[in-house]
Amino acid sequence: MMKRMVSGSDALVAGLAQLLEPDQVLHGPAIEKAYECDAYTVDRSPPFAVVLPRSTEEVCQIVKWCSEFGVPFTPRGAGTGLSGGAMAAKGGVVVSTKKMTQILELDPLNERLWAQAGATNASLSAAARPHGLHFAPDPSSQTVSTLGGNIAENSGGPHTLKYGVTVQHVLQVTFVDSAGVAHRIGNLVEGDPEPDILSLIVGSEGTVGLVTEAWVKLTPLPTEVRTLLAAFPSVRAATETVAKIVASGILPAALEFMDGRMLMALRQAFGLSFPAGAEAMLLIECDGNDPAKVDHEAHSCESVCRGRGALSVEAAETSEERARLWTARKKGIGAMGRLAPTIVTHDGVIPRSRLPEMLDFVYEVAARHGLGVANLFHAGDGNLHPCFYFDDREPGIVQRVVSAGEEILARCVELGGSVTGEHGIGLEKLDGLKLMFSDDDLSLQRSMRRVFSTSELCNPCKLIPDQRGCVEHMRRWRGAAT
Amino acid sequence: MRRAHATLARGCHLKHRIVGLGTKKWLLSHQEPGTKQVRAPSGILEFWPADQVVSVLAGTSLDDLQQGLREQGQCLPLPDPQVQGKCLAGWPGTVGGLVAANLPHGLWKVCGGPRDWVLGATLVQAGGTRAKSGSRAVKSVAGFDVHRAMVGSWGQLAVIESVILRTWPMTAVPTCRGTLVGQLDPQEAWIQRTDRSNFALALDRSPKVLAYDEPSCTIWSAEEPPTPSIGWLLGPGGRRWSGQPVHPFRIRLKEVLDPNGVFV
Repeated sequence: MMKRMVSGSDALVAGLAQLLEPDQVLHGPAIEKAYECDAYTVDRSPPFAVVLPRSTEEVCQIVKWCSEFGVPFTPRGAGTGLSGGAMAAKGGVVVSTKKMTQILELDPLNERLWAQAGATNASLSAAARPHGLHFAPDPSSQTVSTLGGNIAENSGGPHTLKYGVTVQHVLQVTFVDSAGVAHRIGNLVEGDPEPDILSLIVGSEGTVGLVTEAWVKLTPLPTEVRTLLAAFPSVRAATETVAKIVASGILPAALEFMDGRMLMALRQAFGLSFPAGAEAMLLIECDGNDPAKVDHEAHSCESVCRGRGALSVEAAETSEERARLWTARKKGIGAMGRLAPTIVTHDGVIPRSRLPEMLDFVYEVAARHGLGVANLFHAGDGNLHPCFYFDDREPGIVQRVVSAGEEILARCVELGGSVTGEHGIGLEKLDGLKLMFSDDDLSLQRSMRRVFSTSELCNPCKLIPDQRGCVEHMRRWRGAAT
Repeated sequence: MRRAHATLARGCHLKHRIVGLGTKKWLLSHQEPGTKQVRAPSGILEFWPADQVVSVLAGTSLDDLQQGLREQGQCLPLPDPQVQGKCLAGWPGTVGGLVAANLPHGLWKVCGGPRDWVLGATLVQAGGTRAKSGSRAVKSVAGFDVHRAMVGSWGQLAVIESVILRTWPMTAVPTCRGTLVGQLDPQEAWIQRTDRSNFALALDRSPKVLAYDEPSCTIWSAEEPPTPSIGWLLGPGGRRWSGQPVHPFRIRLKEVLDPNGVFV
C-alpha cells in the first residue's frame, strides 16, 4: 500500500489529535525525554509523540493511522522492561496502555479474569484474592508492570518455578494487528484442538501487534505456605544446595538466591541484618493445600540446607514473618544503588544443575574485567541475574560491562541454556539470539512474524534480527554503549 | 514408512501424513490415496534427571519414554492407561502424537498439558529444512515459541523430529481424580471440554459417557454429544468445534510453514 506522507512533528501530532482527546496525545521535549527508554537505559531513542488510548477501538484507530502514514509505533506498558522492548527504536509513536487499566470481568467460578492491558499485575491478584484466587506470574515489578507488558515479555517471577510463566496463564487475548484490525485469539477453555497461535503472541514483545485485553487464568491461593531463609558460608554451598533440592524431587514454589555483595547492599540501604559469615542466602518457599505434604517438603529442604553446611535456617511462623523473610529478596535491586551510581542487570538461563560452575564463571568474568557484581536470582529455574555495579563516568567501563555480559550469555548457551529467561530479547540481545540459533533456526523465527504481518512499523528492530534499516541503529546503539 | 527428513529433503510435493503408532488416527480425516506416510525416529536422546528435563525423538512411544524416566524416579504426569483407561491417560501413543494432538488427560488441572511441558523442539519443515526452537532451560523467552505453536498442530505444519520436555518427580504427581465409566480400552471417543459453569449440564447431556474429569471439565463419550455452549469438541474423522471459525492467523501459519500443503 502506498503510504501517505506526513512530515514534521507538528503535522503528525495534529493528525493524532484528530483521533483522540487532547489529554490523550502527549508531545514535547519533556515527553521525549521521559519516553526515550524503558528500564534498559543504555540505549535511547525518543518518540515524537505518546498516545494514551482508552479502548481497543482507539488502539485500532491509532494503528490504522500509523499504517496509513508510515509511522512506526511502539507499545508500552509501565516501561519496566529491561531489554529495550518499549523504546521507540525508529522514533514514531509510543502507544501507552496507561489509561487502559480496567478489570472488565471477574469470573471466580471458572477461575478467570478479563482485564485491559494496562491493568497492573498486582491489581489482578488483588481483585481475585477475596475469592481465594490469584494471577500466578509475579515479576518483581508486579506492583507497576502491566498485564500487556507481562504478555509481551512472557514474564516470570519467583513463583514461576512451580506455577509457570505468563504463557501458561493466558487463555485469550484481544489483539490489534499491525493493520489496525482487532482479533480474538485463544479459547476460554484450555486445550483447544488447533495450533497454538496464542503462544506465538505471548512473548512476541509487541512486534506483531498490540494486546489490548486478555482473559487470564486464576490460580487458587495455597492454604499452606512454609518459607525458609537459609544462610551459607559460601556461594558454592548455596548453589550446590539448589541443585540438590531440585534433584531430590522436591518442587518448591520459589527458590531464590542472594550473594554476599547483595547482602552487603541490603545492610547498607535498609539496615537489614544477616547471620555472621553469610556469603549467600537461599529463600525457599513450599506451598500447597495438604499441610503434612507441605511440612514434609519444607523439612526436606531444611535438611538439604543443613546437610550442605547452612549456617542457619530461619522458618517463618506467621504471614508477617514470611513478609519479613521476603523483604531482602524484594528490596535487593533497590539496594544496589548503595554500591554504585549505575547498575546493569543481565538475564540468562542455564540448566539448574550447572549453577555452581556458572556462578564461579560469573565471578571470574567480573574479576577479569575489573567490575563489581552482585547476584540475586531465581535459582530454582536456573535464571541468573548478575548485577554489575559501576560508575559510568569511568572511561571504558560501560564497554567492559557489555563485554562481561556477552561472555556470561555465551557461557549460558554453551551449558545448554538461553540468553534470556524473562527480560526478553528487545534490542539489547538481538546479537545474543545468534548464539542460540543457526541461520535455519532464525529463518524459522523470522517466518513467524509473517504469520501476523509484513509491516515493519510495529515495534521495529526488536526480538528478531531481520528488519531493514535496523543495522544502522544497532551500530549506533552499540556505539552509545561504548 | 519413510524417515521425515530424508523424504522431505528431496523437495517432493507429494502429500504426506505424519504418523506415530496410529493410536489417534480415528481423529484424523480420511487419508487420500497416494499420500505418503512419514514418521519421526524414536529413542531418548538425552535425559538430565538433575534438571528434570529430557530430550526425546518424537517417534518414541510414551511407554518407552515413561519407562526410561521411571528409572530415575521421574515421569511425564499422565495417568496410567492400564489403570485409568485410555481416555483419562490422554490416548497415549508417541511423544510426537502427545504434542501434536494435545489431548486432555486426567491430571491436566494440576499438572497441565503438553503446552506446559514442551521447552523446545527440532522441526523438519516442508522441503526438508531442519530448525530448532527453545532450549533445555526450563525457562526461556528467546524468540518466538515455535515449539509451542506445534502443540495441537495435528501434523499439519511440520514434522516434529524431537522435543525437549520438562519431567516431573514421580513423588510430585498427584492421584488422578478422573472417573472411568465405560471400558478401559475404547476404540474411539468424542472428547469435549467446557468450563465449570457448564460442566454438570454437559455431562448430563452427553450420551454413553466413557470417562470424565471434573477438575479439568473434560468428558469422553462413545457417541456425539450436543456441542457445549462454551469450550470445544473433537470427534472421529477430524470433526472439530471450538465455538469460532478457523482463525485467519491459523490459516496463515499453515501457509507460512507449509506453503505447498505437503502435510495433510
